Amino acid sequence: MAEVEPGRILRVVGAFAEQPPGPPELRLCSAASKLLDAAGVGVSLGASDDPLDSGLQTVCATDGGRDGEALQFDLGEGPSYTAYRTGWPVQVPDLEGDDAWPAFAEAAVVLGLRAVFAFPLRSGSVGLGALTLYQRVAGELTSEQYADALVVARFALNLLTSLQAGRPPDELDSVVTDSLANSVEVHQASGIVSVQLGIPVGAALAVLRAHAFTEGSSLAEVATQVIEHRLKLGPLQD
Amino acid sequence: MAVTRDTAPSRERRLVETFVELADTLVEDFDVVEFFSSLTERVVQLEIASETGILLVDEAGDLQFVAASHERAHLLELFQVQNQEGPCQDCFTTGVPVSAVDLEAANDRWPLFAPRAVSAGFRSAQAVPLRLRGAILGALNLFMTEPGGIDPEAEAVVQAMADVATIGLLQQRELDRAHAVEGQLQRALQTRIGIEQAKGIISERMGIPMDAAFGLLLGYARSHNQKLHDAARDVVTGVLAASDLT
Repeated sequence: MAEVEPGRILRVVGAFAEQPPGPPELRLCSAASKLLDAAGVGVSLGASDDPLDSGLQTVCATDGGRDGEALQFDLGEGPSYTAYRTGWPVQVPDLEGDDAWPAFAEAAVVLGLRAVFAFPLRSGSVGLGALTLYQRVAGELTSEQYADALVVARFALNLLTSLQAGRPPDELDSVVTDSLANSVEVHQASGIVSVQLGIPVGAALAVLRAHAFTEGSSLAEVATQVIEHRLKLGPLQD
Repeated sequence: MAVTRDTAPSRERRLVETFVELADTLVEDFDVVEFFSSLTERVVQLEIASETGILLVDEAGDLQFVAASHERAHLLELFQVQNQEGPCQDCFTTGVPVSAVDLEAANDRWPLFAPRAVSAGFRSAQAVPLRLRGAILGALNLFMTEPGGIDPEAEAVVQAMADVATIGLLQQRELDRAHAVEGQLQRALQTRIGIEQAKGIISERMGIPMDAAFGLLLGYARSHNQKLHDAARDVVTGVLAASDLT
């Protein structure tokens, strides 16, 4: 960050300060959305170095960012996952015809998204999550927007870290706990399927995702059906 | 700061370069030892001292060598002996700069340190504290081959160098702290997810509802004096069978 000019940092902080009072993580998303002229913004957090074990959990998102965040969680793939895993920003200026992921782009276009830009939240070798910008029109980020986005990502990283600072390791900040509220059943269902099929929980999550994708339902719906024993899944077919 | 006319421009310029170069290293992949090595080399390049080194106080209160302009045996030995006596030890104890303007006449003051320093070719020495809000973190050590100590006009420069070293040290500690906290956040998230996965596994194995599965896990952890997340992890990884929870 040595090369960042102070004016840029002040602009990001200014955009944050202009947001109405509220939870800091939501103010951050709204500020990023306004500053970077994005249709939606999401901040997500990973639990382990391999996001496929349990997926990225969305900590906060603007209204326009929720669909894209949920889609990536359902599929277990997309720009945020790649940015988180590789530590590099992932830019998809036009989702139409993009084939970087087997399912993401096509499904995102159906939701009305046309461009996605994901930035890793990372410090040194520790990958924490991703900041993701969603656009409803195709187009590249300007170099100014790109540089601003890197600063916003750094800001998001500091914010998440500070929310956790000073707490005992097994006590998660309520923000993170709340972010799990939508995915609790998915993780429970992973446990159930892992028993039913005799496979690790990470693989069980992949089975759940594959089923949701082929049935055109959300991962949460499939998880609920599994927990209520209305659905019993078979192993993945090669 | 006052500097002599003939050396002023080059020394000032090189000093500015030093601070710019050091500031450049204060970035994400910051390495404190590399930073201190670069700083000690600069002190020698500025012709303030023949050789320099930095000692830091560890948790046990001992002075530990971290970097030197030249990692030569005689120099390392001089750092070693400072845990018993010497300018650096005095500097650490008093918190103020300590000068040894004539090491050949310092045998009474430092019977162990002075003769060794002289035999290593040094005639004077100086130690400047790395100070932070009253705490002494360590010291910058300078060794000169001539008696008389450092140029009085260079003292301000040396103190500035010591302050830069202190900032470097703080930067490292801040990074360590941030990394520790980030690791915590991930582990905490993994813990919560692991508990949910374990609930699913137990409920399916035992044919019981989620809340009963959680009760079983919690009861097991308590009666075995285990942390909940450790028990959950054991269930998820298969180390602990659901049937063994009852």
